[in-house]
Amino acid sequence: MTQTVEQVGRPPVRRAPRRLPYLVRQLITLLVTLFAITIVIFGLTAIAGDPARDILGQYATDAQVTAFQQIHGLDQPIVVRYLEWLGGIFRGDLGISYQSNGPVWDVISPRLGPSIVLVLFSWLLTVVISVPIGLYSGVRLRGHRDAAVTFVTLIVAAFPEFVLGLILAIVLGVWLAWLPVDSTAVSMGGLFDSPSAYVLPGITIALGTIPYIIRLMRANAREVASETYVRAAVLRGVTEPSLSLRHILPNAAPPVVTALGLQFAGLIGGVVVAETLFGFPGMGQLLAQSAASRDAPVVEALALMIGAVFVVANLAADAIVVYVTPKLRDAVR
Amino acid sequence: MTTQATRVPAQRDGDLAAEGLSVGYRSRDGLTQVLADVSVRLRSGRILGLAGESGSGKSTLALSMLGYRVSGQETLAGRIDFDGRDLDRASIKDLRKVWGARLAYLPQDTATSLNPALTIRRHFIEGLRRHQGLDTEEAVRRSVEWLGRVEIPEPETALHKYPHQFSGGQQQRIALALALSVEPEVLILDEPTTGLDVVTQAHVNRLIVALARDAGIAALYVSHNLALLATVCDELAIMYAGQIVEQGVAAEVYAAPRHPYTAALIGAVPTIASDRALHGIPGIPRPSVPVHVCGFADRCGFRTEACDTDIPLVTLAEVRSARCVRLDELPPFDPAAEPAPATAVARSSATVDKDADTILTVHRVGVVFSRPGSGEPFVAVDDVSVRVPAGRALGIAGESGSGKSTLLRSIAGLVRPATGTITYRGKELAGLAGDRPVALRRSIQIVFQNPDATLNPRHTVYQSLERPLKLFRPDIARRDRRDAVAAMMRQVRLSPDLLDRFPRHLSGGQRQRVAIGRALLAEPEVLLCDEVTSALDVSVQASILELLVGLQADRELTVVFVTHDLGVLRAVADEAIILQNGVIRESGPTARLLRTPQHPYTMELIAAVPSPERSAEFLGGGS
Ligand SMILES: Nc1ncnc2c1ncn2[C@@H]1O[C@H](COP(=O)(O)OP(=O)(O)OP(=O)(O)O)[C@@H](O)[C@H]1O
Ligand code: SF4
Ligand SMILES: [Mg+2]
Repeated sequence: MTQTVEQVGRPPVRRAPRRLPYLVRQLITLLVTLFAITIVIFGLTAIAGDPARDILGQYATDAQVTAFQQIHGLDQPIVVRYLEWLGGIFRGDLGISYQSNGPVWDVISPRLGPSIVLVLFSWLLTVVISVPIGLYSGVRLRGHRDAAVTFVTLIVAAFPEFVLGLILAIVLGVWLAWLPVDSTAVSMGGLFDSPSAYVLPGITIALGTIPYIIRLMRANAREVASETYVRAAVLRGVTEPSLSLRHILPNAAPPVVTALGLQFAGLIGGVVVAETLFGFPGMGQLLAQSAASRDAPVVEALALMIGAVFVVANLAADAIVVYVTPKLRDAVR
Repeated sequence: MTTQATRVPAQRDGDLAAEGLSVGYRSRDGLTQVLADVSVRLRSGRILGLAGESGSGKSTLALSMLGYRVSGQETLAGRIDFDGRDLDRASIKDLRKVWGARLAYLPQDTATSLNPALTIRRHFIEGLRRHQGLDTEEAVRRSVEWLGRVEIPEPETALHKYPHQFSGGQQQRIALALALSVEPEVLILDEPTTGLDVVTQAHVNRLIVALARDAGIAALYVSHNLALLATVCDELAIMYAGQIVEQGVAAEVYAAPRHPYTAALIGAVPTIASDRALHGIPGIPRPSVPVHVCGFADRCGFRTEACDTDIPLVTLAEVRSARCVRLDELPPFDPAAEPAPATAVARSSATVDKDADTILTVHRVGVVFSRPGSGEPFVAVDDVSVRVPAGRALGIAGESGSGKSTLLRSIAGLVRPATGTITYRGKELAGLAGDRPVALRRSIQIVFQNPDATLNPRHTVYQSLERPLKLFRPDIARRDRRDAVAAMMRQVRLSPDLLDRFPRHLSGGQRQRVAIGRALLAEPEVLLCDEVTSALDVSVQASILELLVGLQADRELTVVFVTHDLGVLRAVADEAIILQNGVIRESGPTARLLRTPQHPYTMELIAAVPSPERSAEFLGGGS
C-alpha cells in the first residue's frame, strides 16, 4: 500500500522537529527567563539615576561624590557595569552595599531564613485553608450557604493587605493579646525560637491569596462535578469522600496548582507589606528599606532572588500539573 | 457468546417500571414539563428500545428511571417502581445501595463516562469492593475477566492504563464491562454507541445484546436511531414531546407503525436496501409537552379538530399501544407512499446520463501527514484516482480514519496532496485553495459536518450569506444582495425572517441549511459535502438530504458527498467509492455496489448497518 505512493515518487516529508525531553525544555525556559530578569532589574535601577548625591547627602563635596562613583564603578558605561554585575553573580559576589559598605550577601543572609520560613508558612496556610473550603463549597454547597462563602471571600479580597494586617494586629494582638504585634524577636536567637512571631504576618500574607484560591478551587470543582464521568460515578454508587477526593479533586486541581505557583508572586508582595507592618526582620522589610535609601546593589540582589523564586515556582507548578494529569503526562514523553 | 458460570440465578423480581411519570425542569422562567404520563416496564432478559428526536425527553426518562434527579428537576406525577419500592421517593441512602449494584447506567457520550484521572483498575475495583464485597485481589481478577469478555486486548495491562489510552470503541466497551461487572439486574443505556464508527458500533451492539440476554438483564436502550433499535431490541417505545406515542414489539412497530409520527420517522430513516425516497418531517418538534392537543398535531398531515384534545394512549393488542385519535381511519403504512404533506424528493436513477462530461479528475492523489511526536509519516490518502462526471453526485464512504474527509479536503484545496494531480475541466488545480484563481475557488465550494465551525457566531445569518456575494459575485449590485440572499433562503427552505438572527438562535438543521445556502450563493459548479448530516436528527437529516438531492437535480450541480452512513450514501449518490486506509476498495453505481458488493471490506461495512429485517444476522455476525 505504501509502495504505490513510493512509485509515484512521494516528495520527502517534512519531519516534525525532534523534541527535547520535557525537563530539559523546562530548564532552558528557566535560564532564559532568569537572564531576561537580570536585564530588566539592572535596567530599572540604572534608569533611576546616580545615587551618589542621595546617599552622601547634599553637603558632600564633588571629590567625595567622584570617589563614591569610582569605588562602586558608577563611572563605567552601563553595559560594562551590567556585565560586571552579571559576572559577579556567577562568582557568588552580589556587590557592595552602598549603605553598609560591606558585601551585599552579608546584608541579606541573616534575613533569608526567616523570610523563607514565613513564605512557606503562609503558602501552606493558603493551601490547607483554600483547597478544602473551595472543594467542599464547589461540590456540596448550594444556595445561601454557597453564596455566603462567595460573599466572605469577596469581602476579604476587597481589603488591601495592610488593612487586613492592622485589623488582625488590633484584634489578635491588642484586644485578645494572644500574639505579639511586633515580630522583631525573630532576629534574635534561632530560626524557630519565637514561633508566635510568625503567626500574624503569616496570616496576613495568606489572607491576600486565600480568597482567590478558594474561588478558583470552587469554580473548578463545580465544573468537574457536573461532568458526565462524575454523574456516572454517582450512579455506580460511589460516595463521599471518595467522590470528592478521588473523582473530582484530581481533575479540578491543575488550574489551582498553576495558580498556587503564580501566587508566589502575590505572597512576595504581601511579604513586603506584612514584614514592614509587623517589623519582621526579613527580606521584604530589607527590600523596602533599601529601596527607600537607594541602596541599588541590595535592591538588585533581592529583586533577582524574588524573580528566581517566582520563575522556579511557576515551572514547578507546570511540572506538577503535567505529572498529575495522565493525558499531559503521555503528551510530554 | 460467553456463558457466565459465576452468576447465581437469584430470585429476581428485578423489573423496573415507570408508572404514569411526569417530569419537569424548574428554571428562572418557571417550570417546563418535559415528560408526561410515561409508562414503560423493563423486564428481565428483554431490551426495550426508546426512540425519539433530540429533546423529546429520552435522557430525562433514562435518568429518572434510576431515581436520579439533576438540579432543577421535579417529578410532577407518577412513580418509579422497583421491587415494589418507589425509587423516585427513595432516600439517597437507599438509592446508593442500588446504584451500581442492581441498577447500572451507561451515559450518553461515553468518551466522557470514564474519569480521565483514574486508571481502569480504579474504576473497576471501587464498585466490586463496595457492591460485591470482594477483596482487591478478587476484584482485579474479576475486572480482568470482564475486560476479556468485552474483547479488550491484554486485560492485565489494560487495567493499569488511563481511559485516554484507548480508542473510543474500546472506552465504550470498557464502560460496558464496568457496568456489567457488578452483575446488575437492570441496565440503562443512553445512546451507548452514538459517535462510534459504524463497524465498531455494530460490534459494541452485538456485545451489549449478547451480554444482557446472557445475564437476564432488563435493559433500556435509548437511541435516536430507529433502525438500530428495531434491530437490537425486543420492544420499542417511540417518544415525542415527552409522551410515548407508540409502543410494541420492535419488529412489528417498525414494519407496521400505527402512529403518524412513527410512520414519518421510519420514512426518514435512510436504508441501503431499497430505492425508497427519504421524507423529512416538516416543522420542528415542540419544545415542551402538549396540553389539550396532540403533541404531533403541528406536523401531522392527518390532523382534524378531533386532535385538539388530550390524546389517550390506546391499547391495540397485548403489547401494542398508540396515542392517536384517528388510528382506525388512517391508511395502513406504506413505506413507499408520499407522506401526507408532500415534501419528498426521490433520487431518480433515471436521470443518470451515461456519458456526462468529466468535471473533476483526481489522478493518483496521495496525502501524507507527519504524525506529531514520532517523525513517522502517515499516509491518509494513498494513490487515489477518481473521475467525477458533471451534474452527478459521487459518494465517498468508509470508516472514520479511512481518509474520506482528507480526500475531499484535498479537492477543496485545504490540504496539499503530496503526490498526484486534481484537474478541474481539464485544468490542473493548485494544491492549496489560496493559490487558485478566484473563479476556481468560487466554482468549488465545501460544506462541513459542523455548521458552527463555518458560521461566525457574531454574524447574523444575513452577514454570513452576504459574504460569498461580496467575494465571488461582483455581478450582483450591492442593493440587490438582500434579494439574492432572501431568494436563497427560500431555496434552502428557510424563512427570510431568520436573516437577522444569529446562529445561536437557529436549530442545528437550520444552521446546516444556512451553511449550504452560503456555499450555493457562490454559484458553484461543484459542491463538496463532508458528513453534512451526521450531527443531525434523522428527520432533519432526511430534509437536508431531500434538499440536496433536489438542488442537485434543479441546478445540475455536481456533488461530492462524504459519509460514513451507507443509507445516506444510497439516498444521495449516483456513484460511490468505498475507502479504507486511504485506498479505494471498491467503486461503482451506488445501488449495485450496495446490492452486490465485491470487496470483503464493503461487505463488512454493509453487515455493520443495522437492519431490522436481518436482525438475527446482524446480532449473530462478526464475532
Ligand atoms: N437540566 C435541564 N434543565 C432544564 N431543561 C432541561 C435539562 N435537561 C434537559 N432539559 C430539557 O428537557 C427536554 C428533554 O431533554 P432530554 O435531554 O431528555 O432529551 P433527549 O431526548 O435525550 O435529547 P437528545 O437526543 O438530544 O439526547 C429538552 O427540551 C431539554 O432542553
Ligand atoms: S391525534 Fe391527530 S394530529 Fe395527532 S397523530 Fe393522530 S391524527 Fe395526527
Ligand atoms: Mg439524550
